[in-house]
Amino acid sequence: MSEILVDVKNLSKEYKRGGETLVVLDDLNLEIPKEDYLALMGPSGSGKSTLLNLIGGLDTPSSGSVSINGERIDQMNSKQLSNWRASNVGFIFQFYNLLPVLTAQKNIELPLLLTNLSGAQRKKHVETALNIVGLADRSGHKPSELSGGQQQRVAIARALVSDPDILVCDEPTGDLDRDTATDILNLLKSLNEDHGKTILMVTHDPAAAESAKRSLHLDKGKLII
Amino acid sequence: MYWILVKAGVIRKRIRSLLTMLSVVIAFFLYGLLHSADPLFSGAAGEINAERMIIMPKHDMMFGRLPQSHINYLESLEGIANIAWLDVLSMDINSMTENIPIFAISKDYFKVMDRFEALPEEKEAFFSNRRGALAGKAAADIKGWKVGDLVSIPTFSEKNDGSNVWEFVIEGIYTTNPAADELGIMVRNEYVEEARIANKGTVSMIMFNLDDPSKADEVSNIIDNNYKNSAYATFTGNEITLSQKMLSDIGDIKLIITAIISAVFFTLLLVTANTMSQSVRERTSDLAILKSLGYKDGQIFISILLESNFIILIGASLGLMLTLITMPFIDQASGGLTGGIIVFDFYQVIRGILIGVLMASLAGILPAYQAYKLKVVDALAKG
Ligand SMILES: Nc1ncnc2c1ncn2[C@@H]1O[C@H](COP(=O)(O)OP(=O)(O)OP(=O)(O)O)[C@@H](O)[C@H]1O
Ligand SMILES: [Mg+2]
Repeated sequence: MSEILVDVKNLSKEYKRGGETLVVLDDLNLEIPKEDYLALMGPSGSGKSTLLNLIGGLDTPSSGSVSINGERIDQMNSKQLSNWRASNVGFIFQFYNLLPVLTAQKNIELPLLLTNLSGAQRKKHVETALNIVGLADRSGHKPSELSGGQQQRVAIARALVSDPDILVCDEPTGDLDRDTATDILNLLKSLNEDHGKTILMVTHDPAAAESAKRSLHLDKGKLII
Repeated sequence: MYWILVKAGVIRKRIRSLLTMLSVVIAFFLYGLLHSADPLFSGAAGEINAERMIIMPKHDMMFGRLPQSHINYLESLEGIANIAWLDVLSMDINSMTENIPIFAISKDYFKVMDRFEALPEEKEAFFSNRRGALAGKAAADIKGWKVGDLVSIPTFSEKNDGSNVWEFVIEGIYTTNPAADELGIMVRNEYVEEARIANKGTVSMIMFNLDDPSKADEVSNIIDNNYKNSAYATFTGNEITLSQKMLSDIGDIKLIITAIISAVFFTLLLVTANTMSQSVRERTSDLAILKSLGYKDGQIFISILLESNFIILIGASLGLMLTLITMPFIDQASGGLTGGIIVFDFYQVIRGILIGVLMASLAGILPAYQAYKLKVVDALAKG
């Protein structure tokens, strides 16, 4: 087995609502090796998104640790997490979440504006990302001028552009028809196999889980193999 | 980086941004207009121009009287160069074009009030005919008066022959520089004084030049103090300070203007703040995605503030520019009142811009804080 990229230990996440405590993730352990492609399934409300957000550094746990590439991201403050996210993780969400007024090219460039790259360098990176997702000819289009599948490709290019080790996808095909979903899944698969990206994907779709290297089930805050 | 965020924010709802900007333009246009009239009310017109000093009745500038003994007193003072006086024989400010005002002037009037001009030969003809008159250019144009015309003008002043109608011979045309105050007819004070029944021995105002213009304040104070407790108290000043005094007699205009501008700006503040906060609310998922990409809370905060500054400053600049463009027309249209002293200078522009920045920051700070506090996880859970 190769090197461990994501190391989750005794992770718990609770929400206090009124007097009650809602345990969403309960003392959870998970290791994801580099270049793994892991599908996470489970019923609605089981805590899949919560786990994903913790691993992606969007949220902090109630207890336990999350290490990515040896870095304890659970101990970072919000500013450190922002910096960390900017260069270490790419997010892909169900609803693409592109900025409507910006062209595909500008949307993809957004993460790079936080770096020291020159305009020319940024342009090159954006082109590379567009080529990988097969949308080089649509760079000047606004999201409203693109199909759902194309928008998701732009979102994937945006997640790729800063060359992160891990891609975190929350139901990336949830809003797409079967054929388009298959295209997107093939794209993710090639990112994993050909570009060495580690992928963690939440999905309700057995076919999507099928395309991953392995899958895990989450139920009531616990992982079931 | 900030520029693209600001741009994305502004053009997301173009129409709304434009409308907000438009209201900013209008507010600052108003601000510019009202403030450019400031010198009229605040005495900020700089050093008083002492070339032409005027004494008027303190308590009723329009229709009050000054006795001729004031002229004698003025002659006894040191440092006075020329003295002239003027009597308003007839004036109806509601129908100046209909009933041309009649001013009875003394011999040296043109010497003192050198912004009034007439051809030398016409002036000579005027001063050698007791019933001579010089018509203002505007008045002559309206009434079709020409040199040599005999004009009969009904007034409220009775002559000693029992008639209210005064007759004069037009001997020339007078103009002013800058063109204002040309709506009138000048006649001889000696004749009026002799022919009328009421107001004998009084004048409406006295004007003089100083040997040393820098003594303007000093001399004004001496004169006004001398008549402080008199029934004919005086107010001495130049044309600017006199217009100020007249306006402030009408009411505390400066206060009213400040109140109007404050109200306008306060409304604008609410409108902009509301627009911004609505726009932030609509953009929750945009902002969340930016944060997920690694944009820091502080950067998002600043970008919202910049956006509000962008809208307000563009609007403010356009509004102030509009003021500068329209100013000459307004100055012209106001006729004599502003007398070319309306100014809108660099200082006013800077102050306008500073007000803009302040407003933008006030309007933007709450929405910016909303955006700052936004948690990616919560925003995505909702979207
Ligand atoms: N901010 C929050 N405050 C309180 N409870 C929360 C919050 N966020 C999530 N939860 C709760 O945590 C539980 C897990 O939510 P999560 O979004 O992780 O589920 P999920 O497995 O992704 O579900 P789905 O498949 O519907 O997306 C849910 O019961 C949800 O109500
Ligand atoms: Mg979910």
